[in-house]
Order: sequence, then C-alpha cells, then structure tokens
Amino acid sequence: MKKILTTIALAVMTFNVYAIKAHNIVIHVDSRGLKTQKLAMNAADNLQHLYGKDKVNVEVVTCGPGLNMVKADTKFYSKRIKRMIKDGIRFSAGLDHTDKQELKDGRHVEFLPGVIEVQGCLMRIVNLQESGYTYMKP
Amino acid sequence: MKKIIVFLTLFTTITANAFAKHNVVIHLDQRGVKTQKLTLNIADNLYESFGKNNVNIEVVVCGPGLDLVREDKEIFVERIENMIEKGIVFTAGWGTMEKKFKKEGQYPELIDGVNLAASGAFRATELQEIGYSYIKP
Repeated sequence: MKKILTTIALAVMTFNVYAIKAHNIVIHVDSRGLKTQKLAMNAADNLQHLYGKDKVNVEVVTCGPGLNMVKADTKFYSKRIKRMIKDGIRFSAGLDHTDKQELKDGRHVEFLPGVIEVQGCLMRIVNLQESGYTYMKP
Repeated sequence: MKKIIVFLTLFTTITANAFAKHNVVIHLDQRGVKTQKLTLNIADNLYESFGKNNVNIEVVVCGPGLDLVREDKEIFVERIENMIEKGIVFTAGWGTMEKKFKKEGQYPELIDGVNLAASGAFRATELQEIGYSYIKP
C-alpha cells in the first residue's frame, strides 16, 4: 500500500507534464551502432502507429555512446528525429557522460531542439519504470 | 539436490521482503568482456547515484553471461567480491549450471556469495512482478 502511494506521489510530482496514458514505453539506446538506433526509432514509430497517438507515451532514452543519435551535429537521423518529436515521441539525453565528451571535443555538446536533457540516464529509466513504463531495448 | 531447492525458496522469500526505495534488476545473458564491464559499471553507477541505502540492485546472469561470476575466469573476481560486500546481489541461473555440468563433467565454481535461482529468466520475471525495474546492458 505504501509502495503504491509512493509511486502515485512520484508520478504526480515528476510527470505532471507528461500524463500517464494507457500504454507507456521507455526505449533504451546505449549503442553507437546506426542499426540499433534505426531499430529504436522504428519500434517507437510502430508503437505509436499501432496504439494510436492518444493512447501511448513513448520515450527514447539515450545514454553514453547512444547520445550520438540526438546530437545537434548528427547527420544521419536528424530529420526523422525532428519529425518524430513533432509527432509526440519524446527523446531524452542522459548528461552523465557528456563531461567526458566535452573534454574530448573541447566544446559544449548541443542536442537537437526538443530533446530533453536529464541528469543520469539510468536513474531516468528506473524512475520511468517505477511510474508504470514498460522497458524495451533494441 | 533437495537442499539446493530449499535454499532457493528461502532466498526468494528473503529478498522479496527487503524493500528499499528503488529496486533494479540488471539482466546479463551475453559473454564478452565489454558487456560484462558495462554490467558492473551500471550497477556501480546506480549504487552511487541513488545512494547505498536507497537502492536494491540484483545482477542476474544466465546462459553465456554466467562467465561473469565463474571463479576460474578471474577477470572481475576481486571487483565482484567487493560489490557483494557493498550489498549488490549476484544471482546465477541453475539451468545454466546444469548444462555446464553435462558439458564439462562438473559444476562450475562460482565466486563466494553468488546466489542461485531456478532460472535466470524466471528470476528476472519474478523480480519485475514484485516491483523491480529492468535494465539490460
């Protein structure tokens, strides 16, 4: 009982912006591979198409090497990601690894417009699952 | 054999009761040093970022992932022993152990403190049903 109450409180506190819908899915991308990234986007698109826009929340959480997918200077999928964000699929970038990348590149890492920046991508994934999201990893 | 089964049931009930604020199961089913290292890094990272009293972490290994907790592989033995001391739980699937027995003629020796479950996938499912969050490296 206590657990349920805590979950509800957490859900209200953290996600009042993103209301829980009938289906909620978090997709975890932690790989640099273009194949995996494409698979993740296909999964997100398919889920939204199958369940219907109003009935599903999809969030793609990118960590570590997967951050390449949502960086502002990426060439590969930027158009598609912009279109997907317009359609209501959320993309978030875990910032816990960017410090290292900043040092390597010597400049600040910038993401595509609309990408949510979160502190700690693993924590984000755990918090989302605690408020009722289903986990998927391509 | 009977002893082991009794042990398994006991273990399941004990861990199910001890609830911290966050509960995470990390499921490893691949071989390869890179993935194994990533698994341990994820566990350490979560342990640090949530704080040690706020999180229960269980690493479930099955199939080729069993290499991580075998004593004769020797790559991460010391690190895993330290992590077990800190309170991170490691569980191996019994199904894989039996397959190794058929293949190698003896049960593989696991690192001290590694628990056994009836099956890795079974354990991962069971944990998610009681409220654990799932992460796959």
